[in-house]
Amino acid sequence: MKRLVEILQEIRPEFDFTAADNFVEKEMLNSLDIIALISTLEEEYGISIDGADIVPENFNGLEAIKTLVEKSGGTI
Amino acid sequence: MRGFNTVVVIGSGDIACKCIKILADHHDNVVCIEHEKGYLSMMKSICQKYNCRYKAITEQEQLLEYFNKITVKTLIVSANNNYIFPEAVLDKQNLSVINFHNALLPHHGGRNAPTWAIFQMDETTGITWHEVTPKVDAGDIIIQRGIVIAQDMTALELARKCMEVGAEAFQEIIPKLLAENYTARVQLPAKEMGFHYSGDIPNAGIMDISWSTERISAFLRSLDYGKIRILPRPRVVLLDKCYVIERYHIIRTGKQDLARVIVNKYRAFICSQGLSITLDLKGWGE
Repeated sequence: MKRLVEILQEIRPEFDFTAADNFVEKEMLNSLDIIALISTLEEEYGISIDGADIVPENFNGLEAIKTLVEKSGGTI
Repeated sequence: MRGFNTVVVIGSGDIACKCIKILADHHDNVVCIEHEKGYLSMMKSICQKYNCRYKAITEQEQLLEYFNKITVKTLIVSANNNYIFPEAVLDKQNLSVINFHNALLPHHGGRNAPTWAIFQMDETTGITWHEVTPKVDAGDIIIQRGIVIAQDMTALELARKCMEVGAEAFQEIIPKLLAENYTARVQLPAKEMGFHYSGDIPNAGIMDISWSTERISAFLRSLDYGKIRILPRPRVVLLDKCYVIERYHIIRTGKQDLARVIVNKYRAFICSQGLSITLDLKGWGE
């Protein structure tokens, strides 16, 4: 999870992603942040995230993102 | 501060959401219209959170009807919006329409401005809030802010920066806009203004292997909106065969190595001028 938190903080350095959940509802991630996050996750974990999985709910917390990466064939 | 009875935000994405949040602090009658709904759209939830009315109006005719029916004095804020306001709407005396553009007008008017700023290797770009006239992106300028284009910035990164800076500028001008106490200046013709249509793609989407590595880097980054397929994937012709560039990696080595191009079946490596670029390829049509 440490690397995942680092990736999120590279995108939005002003937030502490370890101390929060509901990233989308709390406006810690907006739609373009999510697109940037997807590019980094795909590169970092050598995966391709299916378009159907690109919905706000899958980026709403560390566990949700981890589940998405694993569903896409990556390991965190 | 309440010269307008209503403020309507029309658009999508991050900039529209940020405008809604800012307006919620300044006006108690904000209506948000989502004309093109993306799969990551957060506009509806932002409206709920900030007590603004939300409407999804996807049909042009319905949108025209909506604007035609407005009888009270209304400020329309167009942010990341592709709907072109017809003259009949713009002629209505009770409507004032402003628009966000992600470049320093009159440079790079039209669509995909971050793409063109990067492809043309501009050192700076920026954002413009301007009044809307029948001629697209040609209205008087209300506020502009510059952005330095970082060396390896992609179109997605620049688009994100434009939205961030655009929201800051909106926050700055909104009190004056609502009080109708601002001065807009006419757009003066520039040497190379450039207007880009949605079908325009840098070099028709084809990378030229004879370009300098800096030019190749700019081309690849200019088409890179990450997972958003705003523009088609770049292509390249190598040894008389056309390939789609599926991924690329750019590394600044700083070493002034001898220029070289190495191609194997599905990977190309280009190195010169202190830049090394790796392309992952897929045969065109495969």
